Amino acid sequence: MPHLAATPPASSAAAVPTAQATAAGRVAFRRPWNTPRLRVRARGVRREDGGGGVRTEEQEQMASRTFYDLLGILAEGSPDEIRVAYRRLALKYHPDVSPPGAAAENTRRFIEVQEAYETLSDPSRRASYDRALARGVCRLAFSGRRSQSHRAYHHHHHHHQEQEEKSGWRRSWEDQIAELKRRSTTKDSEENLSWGARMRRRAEASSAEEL
Amino acid sequence: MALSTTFSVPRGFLAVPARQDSHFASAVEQLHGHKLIQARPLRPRRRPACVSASLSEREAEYYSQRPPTPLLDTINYPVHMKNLSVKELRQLADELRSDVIFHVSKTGGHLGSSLGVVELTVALHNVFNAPQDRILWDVGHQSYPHKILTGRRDKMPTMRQTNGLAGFTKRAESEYDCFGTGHSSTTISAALGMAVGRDLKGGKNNVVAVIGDGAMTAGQAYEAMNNAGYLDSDMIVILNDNKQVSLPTATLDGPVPPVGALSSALSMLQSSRPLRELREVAKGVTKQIGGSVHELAAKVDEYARGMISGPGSSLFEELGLYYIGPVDGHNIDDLITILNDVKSTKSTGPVLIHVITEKGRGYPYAERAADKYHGVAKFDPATGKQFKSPAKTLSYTNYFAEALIAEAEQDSKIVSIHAAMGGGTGLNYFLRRFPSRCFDVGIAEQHAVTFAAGLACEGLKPFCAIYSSFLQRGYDQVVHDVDLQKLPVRFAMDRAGLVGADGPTHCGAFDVAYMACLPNMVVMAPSDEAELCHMVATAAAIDDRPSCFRYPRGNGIGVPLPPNYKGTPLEVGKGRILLEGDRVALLGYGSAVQYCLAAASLVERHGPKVTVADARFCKPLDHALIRSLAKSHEVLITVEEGSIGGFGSHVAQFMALDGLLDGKLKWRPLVLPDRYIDHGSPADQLAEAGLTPSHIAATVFNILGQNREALAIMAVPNA
Repeated sequence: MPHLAATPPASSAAAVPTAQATAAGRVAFRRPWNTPRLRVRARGVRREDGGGGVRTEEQEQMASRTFYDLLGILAEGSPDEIRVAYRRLALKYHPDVSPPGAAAENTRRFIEVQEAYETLSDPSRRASYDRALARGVCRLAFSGRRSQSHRAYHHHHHHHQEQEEKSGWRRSWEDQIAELKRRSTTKDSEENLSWGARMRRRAEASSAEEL
Repeated sequence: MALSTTFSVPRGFLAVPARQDSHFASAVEQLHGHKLIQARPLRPRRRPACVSASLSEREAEYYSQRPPTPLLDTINYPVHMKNLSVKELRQLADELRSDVIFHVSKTGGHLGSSLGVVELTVALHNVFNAPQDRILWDVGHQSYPHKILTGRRDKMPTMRQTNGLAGFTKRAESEYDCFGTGHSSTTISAALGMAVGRDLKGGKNNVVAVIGDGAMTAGQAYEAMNNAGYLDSDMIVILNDNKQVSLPTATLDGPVPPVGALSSALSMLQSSRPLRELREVAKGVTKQIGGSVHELAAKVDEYARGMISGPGSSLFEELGLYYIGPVDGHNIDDLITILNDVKSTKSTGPVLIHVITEKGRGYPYAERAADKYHGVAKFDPATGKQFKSPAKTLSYTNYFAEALIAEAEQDSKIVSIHAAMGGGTGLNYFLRRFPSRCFDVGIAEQHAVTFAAGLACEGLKPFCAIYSSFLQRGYDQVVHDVDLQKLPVRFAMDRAGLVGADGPTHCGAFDVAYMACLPNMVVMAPSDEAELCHMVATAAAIDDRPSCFRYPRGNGIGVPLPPNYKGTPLEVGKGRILLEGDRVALLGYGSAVQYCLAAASLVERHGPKVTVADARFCKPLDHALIRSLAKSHEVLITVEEGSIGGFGSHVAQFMALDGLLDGKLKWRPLVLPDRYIDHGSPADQLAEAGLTPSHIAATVFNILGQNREALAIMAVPNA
């Protein structure tokens, strides 16, 4: 693992709570550490909660935690801290380096950590996660779904199945849209030599000139 | 185009006979309406999407009177939709849907496809700003809601009629129709052109192409996506997936799965769940890859997306389009959310949004019908029953199918190929009779032709049944793969000549010209349904070179048919004389022979008895017949329902080289005029083209110097 070994875990930086200002434009929420949270597994079946339905799939004794707790950092942690914390934990829990007896447990934790990092490293996703936390509807697993609008509850079975399938679609396209937005921020960087990118850069340049 | 549908008909409602003659139709409709208003509230029954087969339905399942459309009444142009809330947009969609149903019930036209895209149309016009934002509709037959929302609602009663709205999008009709369509799979190409043009001009508008999964089976769609991915210009492609690839997506006996491997890939996209576990495992691979974290994330996403979303999305991704979906195409919330998101994101490059819809949605009869009410005649909205006037003869399409079946019964090498038009070409009958000898290749005429050439190489006898105007798409294959190598592929070109309500996009004006100029092709045209049967037999018998025959839309004229539709092969290159006369000879090709016969009877009243001949073959021409006509008559007029460069030109060429024009012969070729004839009723189109029997007779009189009679014939049509 040359890549991970090259950057030794700077665990000290991650663990110390910092009082530094957060990145511009990002709202940071202070949270007491012992606020109870609902517990959901990091993986497994996600039920469509249809605007107020019940949470499912409790798991064995998991202290209610947020992603920040999982990574061992403060909610105001900077992206660097998040990355460093993730690497440290990934190294610790990766199935390849864990002792055989603890492989299953470590794999599970590894995946949780992965998900936490994935959410928190992306600025827009982190922002929506923070908002959800503030509303108190969040949990350890956060899919970035936007809040459901009210929908009717009465369906007979066939329709309900269709609904489930379609809500599965919603999660998937919401992810895709998020990814599209993320991609578009870097799409017109100088390395992109496509005709369209060149035209867009030119248009940007000329409109910047005019301003 | 009238297609037979299989659906349950409500029987015996209030003791009204189930079969409704067109005379009584309106009275019955009123009776229905009256009773229905009294008997039940004005809401349609909500039916689940599953099929309920019940022959004892006694109630109508839809409104019989047009319901009020208060919201739609306030919308004349898309700009009026901008301030509506999502709830109001949903109501608008419902009103729009009922509006479409009631309009099409009065005029006939394409219904199912329009119903499937009502929500999509509303969402598109709400989010985007047509006409600055370009919205293109592939094929165009689903554009009825679009037309209603873009200032043409009051003209909907004229849909597909002479001087009325076109059945497809048409640039000359409205600035909201950005691109004329009719043939499929052209919009991604056109949209890319518009996007690149916008980029070159420095514009900022959006370009959206709506294309169906059927149209996606055509190669041009891939050519366009490939180029779009390469150029990386911002544009949106909406893949409207309703699992209807061919027309109809059903045989005579019931639905069949869509043809082609792509459809199964698309449906896998719908059913795959986000496999988050797999994604986590995939991320575990990243540690091997190296590089900075951002690159890692991007690489993993690329890899993971292929694993998450199934093979189909990777196909689009490989072509360079960003895939979003699947999306419920009947959920306006979702559609508006996604479209707004994509619209507000700068620098997206080409994006493909995979939208799942149901053809015929919202009209219970359409949802249940095997053909989803793709193309309907006028019908009664409450019962879904179409008003088809009974005809004494079948359509030429039917006769062709029967004749081909008769040939295939005796010759096991005969196979048939069509391009997603099993209903329109009649080959669904062939499919039922010989399930393994009929090939539907999807909307892929080019492939169909070369595929047939390959079959011919193996000694089979392929009959390619492709509409005259659709065969244009496969023309190079006809020239290079079939004619050049002299492979015996038979082309059955339906919808030759003017086609009525579908208009110039479907008009088969050019096939005589483009087929007869090929050195090895035998080109023939039947003048009636019996001749059609014989020509099918003739084509089956021609085994050393390619051959083709063309026949029009419409029904036969009522001549005696060979027993069991089994024709006898004609002598190649021999025409026939139908009427003997003198001084004037009318040499017709194909269905024009009937106009010639009618013209002859018109001329006879005030002029000489006219000779009428049926050329039968354009290639090889019947030289002896032409020589005898030219030498024994003063006037020779050829008539064909085709463009310049066809039959008349070949006759002219022959006569000129043979010296027949060196004498006193007056020679006039009558062809379709050198312009596109707009959609309308067949009679109106023919009059517009100047090929009616009256026109032909007037031409004769004018040449003979009988100008008064010429004017009289034209002044009193059908005199």
